[in-house]
Amino acid sequence: MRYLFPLLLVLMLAFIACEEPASLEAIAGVEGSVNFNTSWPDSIKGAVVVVFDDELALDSVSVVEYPVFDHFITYGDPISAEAGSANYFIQLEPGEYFLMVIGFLLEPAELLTDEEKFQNIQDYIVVPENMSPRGIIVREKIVNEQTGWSVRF
Amino acid sequence: MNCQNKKPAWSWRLAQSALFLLILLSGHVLGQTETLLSGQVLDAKTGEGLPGVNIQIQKTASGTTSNLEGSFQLSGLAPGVYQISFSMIGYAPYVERDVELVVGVPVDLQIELKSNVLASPQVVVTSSRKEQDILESAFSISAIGPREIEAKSVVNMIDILSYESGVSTIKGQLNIRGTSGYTMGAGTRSLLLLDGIPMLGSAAGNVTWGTIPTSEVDRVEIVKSGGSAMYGSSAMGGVVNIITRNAPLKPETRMSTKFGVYSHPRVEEWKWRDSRGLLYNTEFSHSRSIGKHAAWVRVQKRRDDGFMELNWEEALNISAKVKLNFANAHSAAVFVNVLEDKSGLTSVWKSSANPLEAPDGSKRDRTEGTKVVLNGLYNYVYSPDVVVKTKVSGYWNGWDGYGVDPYYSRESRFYEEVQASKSWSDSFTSIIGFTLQQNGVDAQIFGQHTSSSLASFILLEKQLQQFTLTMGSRWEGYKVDGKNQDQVLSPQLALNWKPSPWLGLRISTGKGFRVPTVAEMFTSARRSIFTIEPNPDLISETSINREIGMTLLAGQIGIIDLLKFDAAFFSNRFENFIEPVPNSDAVIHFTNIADARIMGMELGLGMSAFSNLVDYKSAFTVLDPLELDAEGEIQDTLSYRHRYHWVNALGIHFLGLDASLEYRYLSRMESVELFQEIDATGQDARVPIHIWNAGLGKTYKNWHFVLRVDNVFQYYYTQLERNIEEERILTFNVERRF
Repeated sequence: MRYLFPLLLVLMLAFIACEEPASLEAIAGVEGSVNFNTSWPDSIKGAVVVVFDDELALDSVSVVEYPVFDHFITYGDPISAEAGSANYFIQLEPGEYFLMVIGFLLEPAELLTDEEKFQNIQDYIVVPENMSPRGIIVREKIVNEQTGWSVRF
Repeated sequence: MNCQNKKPAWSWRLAQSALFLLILLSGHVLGQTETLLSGQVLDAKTGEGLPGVNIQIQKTASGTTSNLEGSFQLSGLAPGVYQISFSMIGYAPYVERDVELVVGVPVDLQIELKSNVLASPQVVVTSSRKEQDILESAFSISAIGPREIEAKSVVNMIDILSYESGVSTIKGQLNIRGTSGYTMGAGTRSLLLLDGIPMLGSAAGNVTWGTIPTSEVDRVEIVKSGGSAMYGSSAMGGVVNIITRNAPLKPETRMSTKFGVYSHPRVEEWKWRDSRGLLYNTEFSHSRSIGKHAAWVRVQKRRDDGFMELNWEEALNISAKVKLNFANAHSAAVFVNVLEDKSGLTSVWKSSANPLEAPDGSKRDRTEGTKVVLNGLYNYVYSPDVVVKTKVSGYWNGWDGYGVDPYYSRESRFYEEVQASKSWSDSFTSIIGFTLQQNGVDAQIFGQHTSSSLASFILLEKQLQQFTLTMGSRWEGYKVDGKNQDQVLSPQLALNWKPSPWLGLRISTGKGFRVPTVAEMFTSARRSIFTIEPNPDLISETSINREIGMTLLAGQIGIIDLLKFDAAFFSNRFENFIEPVPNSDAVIHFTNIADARIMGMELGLGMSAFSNLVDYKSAFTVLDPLELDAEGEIQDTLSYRHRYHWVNALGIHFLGLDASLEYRYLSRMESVELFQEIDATGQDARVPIHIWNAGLGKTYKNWHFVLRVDNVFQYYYTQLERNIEEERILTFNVERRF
C-alpha cells in the first residue's frame, strides 16, 4: 500500500511526459477584404478565396484536365452571395502563394463539404471577369495584410 | 412572445391528491412521544460542543442536527436497539452502536468526534436518495465539501467541477465520463440538481450556472454511474447534486469582495485591448434563526470583462433560503433565486491570428435575460420508519439576443415530486415516489412548444450481512406538444460488499434513457457557415451502463493520516445516441446514431500526511468513446470527448497558511464535427490541455483572504473549434464574517 501513491504518480508523469505541451501560438497567414463591384448573377451561389502555390492559367481553371488540385493549398471561409464585401483570413505556413477569388455554382458549404463534388469542383466554379491572382509571401508568425481587392462576376 | 404553457388538468389532480395525502398523514403523528434520546457532540480535541452535526438513526428515516452547544434531542422513536451515526464535514464519522431505547427511560449520549482533514464528505445522499456511507454506495460518487469550495473562492460552480475526476466542461456544458460531448447547448446527459430538484432549462436542458449560489453551497455530490432509474431523462450520464447550506443557529453576516486582473496575452500579436480586463464580485449574505426556523439571504453583484472581446458578463443575483422546523415531524424549506444577467455572445473567434477578438460585424452581439427559480421542499416524518418528502419547483427564464441576429426566448418549467421512504426492518428499506414536470418554450429558434413528463420510481435496498443489494426502477412517460413521445422503463441493479470498515466493493448495471429536448428536435438556426435544421423525427436514446469498482478508506498508515483510493471500470452502450451531425450539404441535424459505446477506467486517490500538513488529491480517467455501426463494427471516435483526463490538487497547511497547487491535463480533442484540422496549413489546430493553478489562503480572526492565479503559465488551447479558452487571471478575495 505504501508504494501505491508513488507508483501511480510515476506512471502518470511518464504518461504526460510522452506528450509535449503545445500551447497555441502566434500563427502566419493572409488576411484582407474583397469588394464585389456589381450585383451577383443569379447562377452564382457564393464565392471563396483560394490559395495556390503557383499562378494558374485563368482561362483553363474550369477545364477538367487542367491540374488545379496539383497547386491547391487551401481556401478561406465561404462568402455568401449578394455580399458587398467580405473579410477573409487564411492560416498558412511560411512560403510563397497565389490568391484567387472564385465563384461557386452551388451553395459553398454544400460544395466544400461534399467530397465527391469537391473532387469535381472544376464543374462548379466561375472565375471573376477581372480576376488577377495575387502573389504573396507569408513569413513566420506574421499575417500578410492585403488591401484594395475588387472583383466582378 | 407569450410563453405557451398549458398545464394538463390531470397534473393538478395529481398534485391535489398528493397534498390531500400529506394532510391526511399529518394528523396521524401528533402526540407520538414514547422514547427520548438526547445528548451532546463534542470536539475530541477541544472539548467544545459541535453545532450542526448530522445525527442519523441508521436503517430508519429519523435524524436531527445538533444545536449551537452541540446538544441534540430525538423523541418518538419506537422502542428498540439502534445504531446512531454522527457525521460532520471536517470530522471522522462515528457510529454509536446498540443504543437501546425503552419507553420512559431517557438515554443520554456524550459523543466525541475527531477532526479529519480529508475535505471531501464521506456521507452522501444523491445515489440512493437517503443518507449513506460512501463506502456502502453501489455507485461511483465523488463529493466536494465546503472547505474545497472556500479554498478556491470561485464565483461559478463549474470552475470547481472541472477539477473533479471524470468531469470536464466545454463552454459551460457538463460532461461526466464523456457522455455528453458537446451538443451546442441543446441537450445534456448530466443532470444538475439543486437540493435534489432538477435545474436544467426546459427547452435545451442546459444549465444556467449563475443561478447556483456558490458561496452558500454546503457540498456537491457527483454520481458518475447512470442515474436514470432514480432521476430519469438527462441523468443517463450522471447526476450532480448541489446541496445548499441551512442557516446556522447563530446569526452570521458575511461580506466578501473578489477582485481579479486578467493578464495581457502572452502572444503579443493577440493583444486586443490597451488596459487589462478586470473582474469584480461582491457578495453580502446574512443568516439567522427565527425561533425554531432559520433563514439566509444573499445578494451578489459581479462584473467580468472576460479575457475575450465578447466574453464579458454582468449579473445581479439575489437568493434566499428559509428552513421551517414546525416540530420533530415537520420541516420545510423554500429557496428562491432571481438572476438578471447580460453577457457578450460569441460563437467563433475572429480568426486564429486574432483568437481573442470577435468577428467583424458581431462585436455588439449580446444577450440579456432574467431567470427566476422557486423551489419548495417539505419533509414529513409520519413515523420513525416512514418519511414523506415533497418537492415543488418553478423556473422562468426570459432572454433576448441583440446584435447582428436578434432573437428572443421565453421558457418555463414546473416540477413536482412526492417521495415516501419506509424502513421495513433493520435491513430492508424502500423508497417510492412520483414526479411530474411541465415545460413550455416560445423562442425564435425553436418555435412554440410544450412538453410534459410523468414518472414513478421505486428503490429497494436489502442488507445481507456485509452485502447491500439495491434494486430500482423508474417508469417515465413523455409528451411533446400534447402527443405521446415515448414511455420508458429503466431498471437498475447494484450490489455493494463492505468486507471491512475500510473497503467497499461495488458492481452495478442499469438502463438509462433520454428523450430528445425541444432544442434538439426543433432548432432552426445558423452557426458560422453551417445551418442547423429541425429533426422532429428524433427518438429517445437508451443506454445500458455497467460498472465495477472499489473504494478504500484507511487511516494512520505510517506518515499517512488518511488515504482514500477509488477505482472503477465502466461501460455505457447507447442505442439511438443523439448527436449533432453535419450532412454532406453542411446542414446539421440532431441525429440518432444507431450504436455508440463509451468504455473507460477511473482511478482516484486522496490522502493527507505528516499530521495534516499535506493533502493531495488525484484522479485519472481514460475513455474510449466510439461510434459503431449496426453490426457493432467501429465507425469513428465520438466527437468532443477527451480520451485522457488527469486532475491533481496539492495542499500544504503550515503557519496558518493554506497553499494549493492544481494541475489539470486533458488529451487533445481527437474528433470534432465542424472545422477539421488542416495539416498543410496548421489551421484549426487542436492541442492537449495543461493548466496549472496556484492559491494561498489565510484566515485571521474573522477575516479570510485567498490569493489565486489560474492558468499560471498562460497555456492556450481550444476544445470547441475556433474558440480559445482560459487566460491567466490573478484574483484576490477578502471575506469578513460578523
